[in-house]
Amino acid sequence: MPTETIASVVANGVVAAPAPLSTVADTAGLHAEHPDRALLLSGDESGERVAIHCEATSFDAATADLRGVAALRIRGSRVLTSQRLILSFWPTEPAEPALSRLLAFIGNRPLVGYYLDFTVGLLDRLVQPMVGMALPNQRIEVSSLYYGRKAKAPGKYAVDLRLDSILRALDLPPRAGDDAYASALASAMVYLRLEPPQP
Amino acid sequence: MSDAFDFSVSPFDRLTPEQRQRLVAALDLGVYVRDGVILSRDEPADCLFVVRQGLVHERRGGEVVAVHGAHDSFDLQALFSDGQARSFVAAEDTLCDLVPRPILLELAHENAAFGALIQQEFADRLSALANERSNRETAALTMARIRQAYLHPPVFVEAGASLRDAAAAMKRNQASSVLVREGDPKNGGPESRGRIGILTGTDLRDLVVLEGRPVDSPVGPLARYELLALDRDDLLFNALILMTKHSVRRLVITEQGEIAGLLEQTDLLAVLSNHSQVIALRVDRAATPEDLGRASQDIVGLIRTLHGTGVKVSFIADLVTELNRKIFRRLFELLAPPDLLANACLIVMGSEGRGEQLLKTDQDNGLILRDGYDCPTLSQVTDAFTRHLVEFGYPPCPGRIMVSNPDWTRPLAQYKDSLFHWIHRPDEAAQMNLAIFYDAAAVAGDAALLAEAKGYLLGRLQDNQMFFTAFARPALAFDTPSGLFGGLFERRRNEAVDIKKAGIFPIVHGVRALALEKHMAETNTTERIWALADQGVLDRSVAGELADAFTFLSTLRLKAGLDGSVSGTQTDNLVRTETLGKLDRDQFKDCLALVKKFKELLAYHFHLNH
Repeated sequence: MPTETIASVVANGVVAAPAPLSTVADTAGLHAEHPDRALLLSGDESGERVAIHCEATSFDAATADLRGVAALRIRGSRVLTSQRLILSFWPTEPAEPALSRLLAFIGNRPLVGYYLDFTVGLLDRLVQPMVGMALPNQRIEVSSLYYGRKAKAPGKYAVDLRLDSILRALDLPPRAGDDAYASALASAMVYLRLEPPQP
Repeated sequence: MSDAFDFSVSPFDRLTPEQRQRLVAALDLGVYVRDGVILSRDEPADCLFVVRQGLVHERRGGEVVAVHGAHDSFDLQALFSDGQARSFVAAEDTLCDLVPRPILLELAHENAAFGALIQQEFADRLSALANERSNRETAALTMARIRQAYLHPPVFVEAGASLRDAAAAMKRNQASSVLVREGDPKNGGPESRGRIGILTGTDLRDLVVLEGRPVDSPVGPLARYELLALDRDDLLFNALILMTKHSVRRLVITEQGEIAGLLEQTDLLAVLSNHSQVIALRVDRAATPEDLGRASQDIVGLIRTLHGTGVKVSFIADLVTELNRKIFRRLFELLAPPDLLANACLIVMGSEGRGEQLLKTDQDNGLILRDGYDCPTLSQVTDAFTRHLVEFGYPPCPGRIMVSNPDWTRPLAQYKDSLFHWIHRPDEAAQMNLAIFYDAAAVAGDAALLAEAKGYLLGRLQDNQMFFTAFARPALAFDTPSGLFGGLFERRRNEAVDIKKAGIFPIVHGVRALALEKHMAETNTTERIWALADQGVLDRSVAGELADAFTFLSTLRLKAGLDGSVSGTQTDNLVRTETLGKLDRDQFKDCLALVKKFKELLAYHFHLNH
């Protein structure tokens, strides 16, 4: 299907989102057999988390085009950089195979990220029409973890929530670039520093 | 971010660009916060940790044995063998690059230079560890003072005395030499006091027998006056050097300028031969139980020497435990037929099992037999074993927890039955049996038998809160005089404190209960304390204080034992506070206060107040 571009998929998603409940249920029925759906809804057993970050054409989740996704599993204190998943999306290519790989990689694991609402919002526009529901994964926003820590200490200044500032404040190495992978890795490190796994 | 891996550091600088790429692709990243445990005790490592940023402490027991900073890597040893008794803790917020074991092996295999460096580092680490122990002991022995050796009291004769008089004086005093005082005693006065010379038994022989001098010639002109003298506070080691240099066998020892006595070479060697390796060698070579008995007596001398030179009690305990176990193993091997050795496991329990025995206390030992195995001469072997140990100076256990008691020499299945009863029908004796059995360590025979019995014990204890409450309770059984009663304590100053009941037992048993609850495999109290800290059951600072207090109390107990007995058996646990120095007394009080605090922690943890 050469005509099915990301744009068309996005259009479907936009239509489906505001639909009444019954329609959603119908759509759900339609997609009930989709294998990724069962994966997303299964109980979380791995204890792992996935740090994720998107690259897109703009910062408006409702209109931006997805260009790339980087995802990293976090197991215990470790960021499994050796098993990273980096995907590129092109308007001329179908997004489904790549998305399937991403969903298999994420599974039911909680998602960790910086400005995660944007990343997940962007993904949901593609995932919703494909499997019939938005990503149900628990979300962990590292900037709000950081804010929660900073807000405990009284100060008269606003908390600087830029990712690079957070890295600096936590004494973590700066990002090696501004691609999705560097940001996902940075989010993973911030997460582990602020929420170390309990023994 | 993976490009941040620093390849300028050995051994990674040996990798080719292609190999570097593969290494980078395989790397994971470890993120650790301050005080986070990176590798806990006994945890096998699946990767090599290379510190990218931060600081990591390598801990062994309570001590930091190594610090790893940026570019340092650990722990090669854990990669190739598990059960390392050390843990790695982040001292600061730390990032580590993790090199998985498979890629490390693959690269070492492909790249000979890289592999050689890795291997070299591994070998260095191992030999450094092996040296550490013997160095500490050798250092202690080279620090020994002449004061610690036996000095022969000086025997003086006047210069005018005859050779026969000198020989008579030697015989009368059982001495091998006499000191000859020159000068005329009638003139008196210190300045007229002449030189002092020495005349040895060898000199007598040479002069009379070989040279044929008459036995009534005066000793004055015949004695040698170039005395080799050292002060009593000089190092024993210097005495050894001086003797070797001048090839003499005795030295004159002075104290504040006055002659205090003579140091004979044999006595010097006696002190130095208390070296644990010498004893260990003799144990290994012992052909009869009597040989073992003599080696066993020397352990007391070793303890005295090491303690006298200020070696830490925990280190002495390690050494003595090893030697005692060697003796037990050797004795059992001498007595038991080979098939019994193959089908049984000799275990030591209680303090011996925990490795905290310093002086000889009651023997607590047992024998686990393989199910279905029958040894016709079993009772002779076990009786002889117990009898010989009593001869060696290990007093029999008043509770009869000894191999000669059939209750403690049983097949595995019966041990399991007993464990079941101890757990499910706890009474006082059952509690005690369970406690000392949990501390058991295998000494000879098939250690798998003990491992299975312990596995059964731990498997039976799943979340049995009632059991642990009952098990922990004895830790509070004895009063610890401290805190509110401190004033009272001062007034009762002249009363002795039973250091075992008031201090050591609550720590040992409380820690044991906590360890049992966590199903820990450790048997040593200090190791348990640190393992509990690693698991977050105890605060690290509390653990440190507790371990220190335990060491201090053990030291005091050793002192009381050494002073209280000549034979080296531990009978006296009483510490009289008025005999302690001010510093010791203050620390003693602090320790007791800490024990009191620990008891409160136990009471809270195990709900002992309900």
